[in-house]
Amino acid sequence: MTDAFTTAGFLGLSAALLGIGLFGILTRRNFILLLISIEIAINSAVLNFVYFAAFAPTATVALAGQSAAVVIVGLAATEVAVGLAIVLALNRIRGSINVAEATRLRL
Amino acid sequence: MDLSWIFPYAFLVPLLFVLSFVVVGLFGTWLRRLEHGGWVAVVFSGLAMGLGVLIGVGEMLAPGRYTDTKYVWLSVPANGAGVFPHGFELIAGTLVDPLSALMLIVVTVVGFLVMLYSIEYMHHDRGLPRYYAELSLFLAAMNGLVLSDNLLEFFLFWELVGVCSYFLIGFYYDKPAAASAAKEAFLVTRVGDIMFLLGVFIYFYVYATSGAAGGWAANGFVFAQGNAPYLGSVMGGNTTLLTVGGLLLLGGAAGKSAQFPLHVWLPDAMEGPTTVSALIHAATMVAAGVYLLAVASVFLGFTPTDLFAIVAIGGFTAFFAATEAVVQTDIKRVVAYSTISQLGYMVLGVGAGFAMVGMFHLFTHAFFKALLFLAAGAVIHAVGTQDLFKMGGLGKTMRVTSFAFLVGGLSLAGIPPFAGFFSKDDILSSVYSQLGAHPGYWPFFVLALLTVFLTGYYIFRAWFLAFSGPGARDPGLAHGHDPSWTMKLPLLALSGLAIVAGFFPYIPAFGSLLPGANIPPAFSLSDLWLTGLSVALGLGGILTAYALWGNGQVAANPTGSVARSLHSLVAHRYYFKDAYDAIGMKGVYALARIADFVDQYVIDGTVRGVERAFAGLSDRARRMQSGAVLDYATFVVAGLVILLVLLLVIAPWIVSAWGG
Repeated sequence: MTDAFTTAGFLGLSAALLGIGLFGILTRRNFILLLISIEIAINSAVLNFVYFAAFAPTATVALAGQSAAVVIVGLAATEVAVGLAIVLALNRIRGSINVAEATRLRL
Repeated sequence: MDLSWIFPYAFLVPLLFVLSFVVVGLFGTWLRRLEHGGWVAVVFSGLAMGLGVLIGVGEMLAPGRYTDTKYVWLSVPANGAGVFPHGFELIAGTLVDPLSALMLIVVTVVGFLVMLYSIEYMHHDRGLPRYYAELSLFLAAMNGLVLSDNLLEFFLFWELVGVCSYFLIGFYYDKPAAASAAKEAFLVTRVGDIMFLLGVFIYFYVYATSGAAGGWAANGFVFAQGNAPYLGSVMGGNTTLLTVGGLLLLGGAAGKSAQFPLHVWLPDAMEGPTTVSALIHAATMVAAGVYLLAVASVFLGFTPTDLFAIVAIGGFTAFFAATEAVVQTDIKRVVAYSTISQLGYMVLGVGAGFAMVGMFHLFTHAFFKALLFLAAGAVIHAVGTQDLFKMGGLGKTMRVTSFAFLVGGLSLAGIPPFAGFFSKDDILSSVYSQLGAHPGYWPFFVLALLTVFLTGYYIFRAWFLAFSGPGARDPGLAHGHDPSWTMKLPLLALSGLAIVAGFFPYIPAFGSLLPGANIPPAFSLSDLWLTGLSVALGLGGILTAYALWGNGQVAANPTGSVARSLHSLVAHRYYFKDAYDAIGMKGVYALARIADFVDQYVIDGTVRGVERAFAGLSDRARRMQSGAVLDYATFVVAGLVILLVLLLVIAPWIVSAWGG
């Protein structure tokens, strides 16, 4: 592998992305920004899969890591689709997409 | 004629009464024509009397000991090791021997006569099926007790007669006095019963831990001749255990036979129907205590300490109860106190070492005391009051009853040739014969002699008050009339027995039921003076009663200050009942308060504390469910952090610390 890509650098990037995502999840009140933060956190995991696939001992194992990354990307897209549907419904019902106010579903 | 083939059927006597109990108890309500089952009970008790008397006669003709194990409850084989190296057997069976045959005759005969008497006496009462069923159950238990062949079975039936006594004293359960008297009788006898049970444990311990060394293991835990010397030898020189066991049996007998200081329940037990008083609280159940002592002294043996305690309690109770009888105004209570007093005589006789003499007095007493009670019952039935000072002159209108009470009274006072004379004189002379060897018996012998005088006095005070004089002192009182034949027949039968029962030991066959209680002690020349003295004392009592109460006079209460305070002391029953009430109120109430406190604050407190803790916890948990997505996200992240810390920090630390 090239010298520009060190393991520490990649893991640090992945951890930073997870941190940014978690920070966003905990602090954003806007539902769309919340979804974006979740995407960032998910993508930090995807990055890990892709990176470690490059070090795989055999082509099959490499393929497994890359397939996992593709599956997670698909999963994330699905999640965003459902999330945006909820955003639309929330906006229509309450006229606001502030998640802190959306507490009607509790018991 | 050999009647011993009938002994294996002895178990039928209690069984007949069980049948009667079931039939009357279940169907009595529909047997209106038959006095609500009363006649059924009479027929069954008649059959049982026939069988009981046949067994008694069989035993007279062929005296001996017949046992029959009906049921083995618990059998531990001897294995030479462990707690019971010799093994033991707990059984239920029947025992027919002279003692039990004598008791069987008494119980079945008096039981039948009282059943018959009840037909008219109880006619107007409600709850007749209950009455006859309970009376049948009592007789079943009493006959079972008489035929028991070991201490444990004896104890079980002993408890059963106790509970029947409770039912029947409380027969008029809607009368507060009767309900509380029933409770009192049950609780006071319970004190004795606990002692009896502990005594059973002691004898069982001796039997089970040392069985094979002597005759007892071969016999099982049963009443058998030869146990008494064996028990003495097993314990070697150490008789402490046997002394304690004997004292505990004495405690049980004192509870059942109303001996001092557990005597308080018997006078109050008079709240039950008079028939019940006659059968249970005079002739049979209260005599069970004496029977226990007699059986124990024959089969188990008492130590000298035990015997002295028995003599002391018997002699003192005889006198003590007689003084209380002197001031009673209730005709039934006079007879009740005299019962306690006479039971004291029996205990005295057993304690002096003459169990058979005590049993002889039990035998005669059962007849004349049942007679006195049934005669008193006839009076109460006719005039509707128990207050002696309202009665008077009843002798003119109630000739048969008056005669019956007179016969009972003469027998009680020990006037020859009535039955009580023979048995009482037997007791006095047997105690007298022991005075040389045991000078400690002197005070109780003197008390027993004084009691003879008091007995003559109090019973004739009652007779003069009720039957002599020009007429009733209370003009509103109903004119007495003699009862019909169902009541008259038992009265006459018992009168006959009260006259002739004293001569029975002269019949050689009957005498074999009472070995040692034959007439000789009473008529041996050496203590003829004693016989003369006791008859003179009895007559003196009767004459004193005549002087004070004869011909309808009413003696004034004593006037001197000492005499008056004495009278008040006796009239208040020596404050024993008050003392027991105080102990009950203060002691038991304080205990109840403590128990209540523990219940309220410790037990309930714990329960409530647990409940509150969980309610608080669940309240917190509920608040966590805010419904806001961000809160849940926070929990998720926090959980993640905790997991990471556990996995990356704590786990490696543990592994390194314990060198995994």
